[in-house]
Amino acid sequence: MLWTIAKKELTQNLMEVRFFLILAVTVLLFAVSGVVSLSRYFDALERYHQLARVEIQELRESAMSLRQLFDHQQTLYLKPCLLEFLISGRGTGLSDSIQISPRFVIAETLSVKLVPGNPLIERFTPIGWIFIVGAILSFGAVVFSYDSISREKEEGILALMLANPVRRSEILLGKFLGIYLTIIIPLLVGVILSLLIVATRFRIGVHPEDGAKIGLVLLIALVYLAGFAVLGIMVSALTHNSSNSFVILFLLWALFLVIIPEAGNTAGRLLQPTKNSSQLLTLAQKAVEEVDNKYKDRESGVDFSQPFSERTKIWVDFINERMRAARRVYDDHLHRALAQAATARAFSRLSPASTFDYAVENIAGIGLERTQLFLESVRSYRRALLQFIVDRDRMDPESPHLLFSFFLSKNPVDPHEIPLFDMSEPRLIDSMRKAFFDVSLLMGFLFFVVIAAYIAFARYDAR
Amino acid sequence: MESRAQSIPAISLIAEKEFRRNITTFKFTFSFSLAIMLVSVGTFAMCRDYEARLQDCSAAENQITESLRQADIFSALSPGVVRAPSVLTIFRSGLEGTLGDLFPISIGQIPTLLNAEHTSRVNPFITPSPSPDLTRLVIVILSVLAMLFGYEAISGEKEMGTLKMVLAQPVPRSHVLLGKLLGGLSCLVVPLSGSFLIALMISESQSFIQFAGTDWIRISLIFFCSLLFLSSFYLMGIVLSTLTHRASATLLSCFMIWVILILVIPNLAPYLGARMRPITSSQVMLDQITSLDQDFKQKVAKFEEREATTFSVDLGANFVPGMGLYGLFRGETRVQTTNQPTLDYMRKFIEYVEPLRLQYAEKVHRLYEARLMELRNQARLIESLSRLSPAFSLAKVASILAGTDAAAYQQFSRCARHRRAQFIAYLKTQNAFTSMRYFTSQFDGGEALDFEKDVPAFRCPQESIQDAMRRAGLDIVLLIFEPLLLVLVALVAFLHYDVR
Repeated sequence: MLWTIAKKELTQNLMEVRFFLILAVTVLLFAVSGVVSLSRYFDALERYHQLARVEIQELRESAMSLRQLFDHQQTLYLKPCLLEFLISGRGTGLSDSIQISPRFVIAETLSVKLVPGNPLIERFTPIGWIFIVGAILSFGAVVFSYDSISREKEEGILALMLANPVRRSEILLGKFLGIYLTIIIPLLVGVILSLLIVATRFRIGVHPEDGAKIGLVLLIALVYLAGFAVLGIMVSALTHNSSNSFVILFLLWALFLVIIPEAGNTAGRLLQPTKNSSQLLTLAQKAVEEVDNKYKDRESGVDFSQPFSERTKIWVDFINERMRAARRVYDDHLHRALAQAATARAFSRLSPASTFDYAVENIAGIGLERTQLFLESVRSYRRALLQFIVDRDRMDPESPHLLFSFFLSKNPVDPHEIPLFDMSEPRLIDSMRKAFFDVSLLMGFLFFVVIAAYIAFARYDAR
Repeated sequence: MESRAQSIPAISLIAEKEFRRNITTFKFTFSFSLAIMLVSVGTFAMCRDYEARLQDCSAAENQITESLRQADIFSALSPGVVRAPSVLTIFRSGLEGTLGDLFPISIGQIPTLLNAEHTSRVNPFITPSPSPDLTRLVIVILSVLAMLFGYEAISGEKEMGTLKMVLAQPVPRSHVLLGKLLGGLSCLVVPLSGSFLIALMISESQSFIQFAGTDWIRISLIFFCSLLFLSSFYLMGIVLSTLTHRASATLLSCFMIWVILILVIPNLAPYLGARMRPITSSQVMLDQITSLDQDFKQKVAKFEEREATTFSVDLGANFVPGMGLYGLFRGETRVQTTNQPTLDYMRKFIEYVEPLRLQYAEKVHRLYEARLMELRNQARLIESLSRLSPAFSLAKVASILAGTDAAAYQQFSRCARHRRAQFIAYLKTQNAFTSMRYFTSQFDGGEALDFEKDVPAFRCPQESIQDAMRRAGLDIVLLIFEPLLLVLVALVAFLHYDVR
């Protein structure tokens, strides 16, 4: 009996206009985003290789003297990731390049790009899988399920069905399966189309780990859509009028998809304020002043004709400590910014759409997680580069061994021994661990609506 | 035969009935309450945001004024300008927060939209999203309500069976339709005015918010444009009702259209526009700027090689020769020493370097201008694509009226550039580039310069409403034209509508 109900629901849905509309919009968006993100990815990858090559060349040229290497400002680029383009539609994430230099502690926060793309355009949601599944297909799930109970009740069919020796839970499950399979079809068609588009342009083929990631993303999408389908059934079982049920569901959907995520950012800003740039500047100045006071009475001053004097050494320490003090202020700001982002996310998790967004981002290793990994890799690279310089400097007996370009060794370095920046992509196991919380939330949402739908339908008056 | 139905009162009767019917439905009360709740929370959040931004701006301004007051050497002068946030961001936040509002004024940098800094707390880890301002809530929530009413007007009544009875009366169909239109629109005015009133009440109650006379006019204009926007959606509901025959099919097509107009087009347009008219990566421009900076540093280094002598500099001096620290964007140069050769060298140095900085600032500015042109072209294309959706037109008109669109920022950056010109003229009349006062005040008793006395105060007038309306012209025309067109379509469709 279960499968009969499911089959009936499914075939009914497949013959309706709404199914073709949803299918058309979904497939169109998957196709457009697939083509556009793929070409953007290739453009970005080419640009990345070009720019990275130039940077490495310039780095090697500065190997003429250790001093030059110490002063040399390098731009480190985040390698474009196909999944970032395809799944989030965003492209290069929140930051794609950071400038460092062994000498200057350029606070990495300051070089993080604020508004990628065109700042003259108002903010919009980029179109990728997260948008298509999160917004369009969840709307589709609502569209197919809002009248699942109430329409049949209105037509009098439900009373007839319940007259049969069938358990209510079976009817519910059957309906759910029918609706669920209806919404899965556009998802699968869209994803397969997207992957085909990717496969035709990729001569090497998709990386096996990427394939696993895509599979997991799909699984999460299945859980998410199931939640919305059951939510629709639940509301349908709570109201007795199809159009009322639609209004409630639509407004809930708008709340989940648009209002709560946008409110999350505002909430983060209000609950976890960070300092503005004037305050940061004041704090940095104060920190530097403290260092100045500490060194006020020391005998120091730089004398370029006396590199080995005690005075000069103290002066170099002084300069470096000043920089570190200012840098600590900006590092602290960076941590606060991250905390604010975490708060905004925590608030947004009230909406299953945001939870879905974060779960997918974590599994695919894109978005905020990737940006943080990039920052950490940049930091450790700078440390490694600095260590390399210090080690080479130690090998030169003529150098005063002070961390200031004028006082480092003038010797050249073998350009091919200089460490190069390399960022390792997040491992799948780590990604899964990070996504665990959000996936559990999604399953919790599903579980909750299933119980609610069951209770609502069990008490439903079909007359 | 005297036909009462032919006279105007029939329309108003129908309108009244329509109004009363809509107001009492569950849908109306539910959506209205939700809208009011969201407007309250949203407005409250926007007010807090505005307050924070005001504080940040005045903190930045105070810092600038304080440093100007204390400046005792010419190179310490940095008369930056801060753009105050528009009080109407509560109604439409536009680009506020996206574009920088602190324009530093210095010799080495010409202020432009793209190099403006942010006084506010911008978080690079949060993906920017639209703010919950009133216009956003009108676009997302009230449009749903409008469509619903439109749908109910025809399909709803048809389902109930009363439509047949109404059309059986000797009233021309066009009058019935017009009556329904008026009734539905009056119905829409209720939640729209309710939302605006709540927003105004909440914002007026905040001490830091004051609306000027022009602000009230702007708010009313936004209100009327919102009404036009909602009427388009209402009419779409009616048109779709008359074109399809099953109520459920109508409802669905209504909301599919909603999703396409509100969700798909506004997000697809920038996507496609960026594809059709791509902009070069900002990294290219930044690299060009860096190479200009290095060019400049090399010229300075060559000068130092020729003229510098080895000398010692004490703690506290933030000028060290030969260190390549003296770049384009460097600010204050202070030297405390009584060593005459050092002072003479510094004089020669300033005389050579500062005019050179002015030159290079121009070169860098040309790069920024080129990029801005690129960005503007892409923005224009994206806007044209977005105009397929009335949501864009409303958002654009509201941004222009609220003074939060790109052009408002550009106007301010023009004023900032003018300020810089004033600053440089001041320096030239004071012979700053050849005077020792540029880098030390020890011979002038360490007194502060009186910059504010010698240079007029900074002023940047707000755009007049007439100019704003002219700029918003195309979108206002669209907002008026779309519902008119839909009325015609609705009339034609309704006249042929088979009520059975």
